[in-house]
Amino acid sequence: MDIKFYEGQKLSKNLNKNINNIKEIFKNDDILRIRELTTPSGLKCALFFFDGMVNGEVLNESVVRPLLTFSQEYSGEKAEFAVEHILFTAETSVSDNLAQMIRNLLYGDTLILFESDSNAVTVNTKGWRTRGISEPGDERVLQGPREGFDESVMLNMAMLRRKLSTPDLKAEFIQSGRRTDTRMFICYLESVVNGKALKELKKRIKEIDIDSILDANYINELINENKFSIFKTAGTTERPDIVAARLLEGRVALFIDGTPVILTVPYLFCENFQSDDDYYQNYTVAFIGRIMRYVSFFLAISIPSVFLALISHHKQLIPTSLYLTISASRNNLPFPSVLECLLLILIFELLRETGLRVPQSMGSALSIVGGLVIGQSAVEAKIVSAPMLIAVAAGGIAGLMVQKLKGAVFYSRIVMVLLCYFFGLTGYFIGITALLTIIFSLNSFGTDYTASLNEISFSSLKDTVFRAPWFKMDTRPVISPNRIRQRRKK
Amino acid sequence: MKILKIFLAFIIIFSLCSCASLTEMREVEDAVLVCALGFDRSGDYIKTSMEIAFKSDKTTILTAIGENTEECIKKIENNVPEKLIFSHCGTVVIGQSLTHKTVSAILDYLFIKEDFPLNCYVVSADSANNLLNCKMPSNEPIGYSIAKLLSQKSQDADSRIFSLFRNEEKLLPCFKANEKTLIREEKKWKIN
Repeated sequence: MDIKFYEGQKLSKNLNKNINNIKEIFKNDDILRIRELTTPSGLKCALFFFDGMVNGEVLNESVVRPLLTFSQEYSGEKAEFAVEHILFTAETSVSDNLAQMIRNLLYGDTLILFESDSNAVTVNTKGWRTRGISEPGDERVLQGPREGFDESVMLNMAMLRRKLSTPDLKAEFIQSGRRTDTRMFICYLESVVNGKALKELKKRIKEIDIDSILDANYINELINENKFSIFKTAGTTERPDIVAARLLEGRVALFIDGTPVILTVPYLFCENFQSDDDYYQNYTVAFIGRIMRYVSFFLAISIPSVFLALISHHKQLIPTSLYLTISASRNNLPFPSVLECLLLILIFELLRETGLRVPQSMGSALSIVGGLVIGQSAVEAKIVSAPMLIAVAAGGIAGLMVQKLKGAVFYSRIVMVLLCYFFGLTGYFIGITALLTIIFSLNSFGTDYTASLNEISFSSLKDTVFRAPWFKMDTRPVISPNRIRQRRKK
Repeated sequence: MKILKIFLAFIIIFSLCSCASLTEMREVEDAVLVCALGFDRSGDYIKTSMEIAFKSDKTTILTAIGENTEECIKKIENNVPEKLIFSHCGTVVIGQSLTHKTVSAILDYLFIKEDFPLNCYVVSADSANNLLNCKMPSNEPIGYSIAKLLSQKSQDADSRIFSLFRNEEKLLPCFKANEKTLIREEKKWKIN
């Protein structure tokens, strides 16, 4: 049964009945532990907890020992009395809501029920093991902090608090998922947040009706307004410094229990080209990296398609000696050029994907297979031509520079190759126009996807195409147009 | 609204198909380069010689006789399974046996031919066919060898097709074939 089934239900005053009730709810669940005890003063109670989820030492020292050694007289409501006079813990609550009790029990708290009292005490005894703080694999930096979030939402919130020590930081609690009842926090800085995005995010999360939420991507796909877009419109990160920086720019962050990935909205197109390293290195170095990423995105979708357009439709544009070389290399090849190009793109993607998931011990073998077998042997066997291989490889390597856009680059590349093969450079420009139209028409939680690129001015572009030095970053970007934009005294 | 969008998309795709030349699409291996053209007199007809590069180091000379340039080129095209690419033509050799009227007609045809490069060099020789049959030691197509030679000197830029139509005085450099080498003659041949 879902927890919602127990909403509105209350416990009885009979302890044995309550124990049997809870045993029935968790029938066939052998991880639940029940400890019945009586205090020296005759107070009967029962403890409920899940083995492996509680901190045994806290439970024994702060709950069991005080109860077993309490010999004084008790008065009034037993649960309230226990909280005020017996238990040695800081975080407790008293409730008669059965659904809330089950929720807390399932989350690692200990439930204490008393004879002749329908209220129960919930004690924070969470003690499950976490992975610990480590650097995220996909977001490594050369300089700067190396902390990363882990799967515990409370630990993640604590890490964020350390970065943003201000009462302006708000964290609103929300739960979703019929069976997982996943805990989430919506975080924002009250004085700078984009109010429209915040309101929209809350509304969309409330509308979610799903069995389980096990990762940030479940939420991402459910709340995304551009459901079939190849460009993502919600940012993800596993680094507390990045979340803090985004909150300071007016974005909203969503922390989800059970995953180290944090969602941030709104998300702009220019963020795909930003690297965490950009802000921890000198702006002159960051400038080169940013420009290279923009150029790489353009080259990744253009190189194979333009090459195909030139050799199929516009032979007059190729230098004569190069044309003769290409012509000689394509002699007696079994496949038409478009099929060869698509095949090579597919093989490149296979190699890239395999490289991500293969065990480290096999990494070197994979590079030998990729380099020698496909690179050299396929060309010598006249299955593919060397110029086409070079064109696809160049495009593939350029695509590796913009990891955040890998899906978009792959699909764009395929479409551009087909357009260029059938329509030549006309098709290329049609494709580029269509791509730009799509990008400029996207919207992320009420903000234009290309908000920072709409205006050609230093204040708009200072953190987009290039990264201005910190002494020039006086105002926040245009994500929160009506909030406090000044972030530094001039 | 959705139907309108689908209709607009259909119009765009249809327009793409119309304006893009699908019939002009050729795989690289289905096309051959024309490196040089030569024109001689054959009685009352024109003898056209065409140097074609099938592979990077192998060229062939094909000839055809016809009443005019277009007919000769069409005859050669019909005998070659691949499509002829004229846009990389380096040199046009005009035989000195041709009359000035015929030379003008040939140049006019080449000027308006859609894929013919206007920066192609025009030279003259006693026999264009003999000149094109000359084998260079480097095995480079003769058309490109002559073009490379002429491109080294700025005064020879006047012998490109677009320059010939621009200048009043039309002087063509003269070449002579000598066994396995080319000899450039001092004289120039005037065609107007």
